[in-house]
Amino acid sequence: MGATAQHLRDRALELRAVAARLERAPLLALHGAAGPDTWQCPAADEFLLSIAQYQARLLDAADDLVWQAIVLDRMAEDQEAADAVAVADPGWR
Amino acid sequence: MGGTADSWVGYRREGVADLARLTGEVIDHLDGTWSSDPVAATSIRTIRSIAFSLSTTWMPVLTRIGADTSLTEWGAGPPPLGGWTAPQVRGVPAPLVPPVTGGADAVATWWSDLADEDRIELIERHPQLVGNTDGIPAQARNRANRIRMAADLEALGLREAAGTLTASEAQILTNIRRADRGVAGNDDHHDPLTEQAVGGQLYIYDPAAFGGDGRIAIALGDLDAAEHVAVTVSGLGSDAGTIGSEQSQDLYVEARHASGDSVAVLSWMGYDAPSYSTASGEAADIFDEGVDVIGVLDQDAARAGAILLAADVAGLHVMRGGRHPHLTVIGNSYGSTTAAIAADEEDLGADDLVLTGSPGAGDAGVADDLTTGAEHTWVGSASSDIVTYLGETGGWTPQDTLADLIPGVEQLGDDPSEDSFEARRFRAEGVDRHGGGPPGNADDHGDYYDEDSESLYNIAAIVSGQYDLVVEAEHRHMERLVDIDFELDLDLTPFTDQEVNLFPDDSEADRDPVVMTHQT
Repeated sequence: MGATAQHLRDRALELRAVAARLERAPLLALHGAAGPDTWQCPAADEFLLSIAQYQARLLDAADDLVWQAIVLDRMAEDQEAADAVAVADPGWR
Repeated sequence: MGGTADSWVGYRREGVADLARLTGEVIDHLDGTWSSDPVAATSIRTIRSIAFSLSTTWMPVLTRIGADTSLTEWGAGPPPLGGWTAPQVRGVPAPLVPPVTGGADAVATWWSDLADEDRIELIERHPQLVGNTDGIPAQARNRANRIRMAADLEALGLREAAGTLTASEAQILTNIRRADRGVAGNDDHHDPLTEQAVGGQLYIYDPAAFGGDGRIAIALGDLDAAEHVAVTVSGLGSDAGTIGSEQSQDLYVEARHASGDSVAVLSWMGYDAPSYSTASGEAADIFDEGVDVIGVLDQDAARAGAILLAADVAGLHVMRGGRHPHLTVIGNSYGSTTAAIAADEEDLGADDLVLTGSPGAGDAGVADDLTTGAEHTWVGSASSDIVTYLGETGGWTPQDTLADLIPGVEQLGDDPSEDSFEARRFRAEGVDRHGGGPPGNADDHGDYYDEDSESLYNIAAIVSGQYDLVVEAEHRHMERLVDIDFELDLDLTPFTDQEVNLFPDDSEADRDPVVMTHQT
């Protein structure tokens, strides 16, 4: 495998790690702790709404990172295929 | 005044303390989530924005809840469930909450029915309800937004001094400081005819919007009263951190000289314009390096921005009641694509539309597709501006693939300066142009607002309604394939010959640029 392909795979790996970390963000715990036995007021409702919106945005961001990782992996595969062809047919014969 | 928001119940101290601790953990978790990979930049900005909102909006609420005397602290027993019903905004009397249905018209009616003291209370105590609400007059929004900006500057300035500013907060602080300088610059600007201070208005203030790029609009002049209102829409690579007042001041001066009528210029950075950078995160030259994978340059951002632009322009009309100004929207570069889409698909309420340095006019095929029609759709395209050759031509040629040859760039629509688009093209050759004619260069893409330029002269004439003063230019013309076939006697082989002109004919390249100004 060429250095470029390996570099692409390393980047994809990092992006997947960041996405996994996002999915572990303890926002759901926040949601659970902000229930009506903790506080009841307009701010409580606004807080829960905000948390739900943050959660959705973080999951979207995680999805985007995973998608970018998939793209990088595909680029790595293409690079590897090109490298294999180059080895089989160096082109100077 | 009616009832107040005192129908809530209360809180449990330990529970809220736990909530504050957990919120702190979430902030730490998000602050510790990082990648320097350029393709992760958008996601990282989202993460920073959420951490910022949690730390600046919710942590103060949670940590100071005991100081809120309108709350009851529950004892050890069960909470008195059953809750409260509206109003929805904490601590604000119901009549002072803007209506959430009925749009800007309902807001305008509600505002006009408020007593003066209620308006003052809203602006000073709840500026977040006033600053960005369409239907409220610009003067009131301006006062509210300045209060918010001053508070944000102080809060983030303290964190900066203490060394606790996060990266996302630093970006937002940069946006706020640019906005502050822009408003101050407009405040200090003097009218060229009366020599009185014109005054600035902070019309939209949301420095953390769009993942930290910010959403800001600053006016020079009085949006509530000016006879002519111009809305300028910037393009690629612009955000709240790049907003400036120099262009709007130059346009204001020229427009005032053109007619003598009152003018206001709104510098609108109200949408998430595409960013571009190199893999190392530095700003890139699109023509040398293409658009980075952070964001492919296509119509998506323009389409999203068009919705916001049309809504904000509609708000400008509503807040003035029946006293509609003569309103011109000026889109520059990618902003021209945004503005054209707004006029094509979002019912943009502009009397005149000006597209300068346009890489394409969205899906509109002819100017009559736009709300401004062929008579009031104007185009400024310098013959030496390479960006203006990115648009699709009226005929199919290999030139149509030019945009596709630049990594990350997709077609943004037709070139509006061509005859096939049927808009009114005005002279816009830069005095200091670097050679004329296609394919042009990137340096001449940023000259449309230059002092004493043909472009600024003509834009000012349009903005002030002095159409007779506009110096029009011949359209570009693209030879269609059938014409080429005829000339070449149906032999397509020479089509790939380098002598075949791949760009439209532009007679503007054949004349010398002229220094022009309305100032006598």
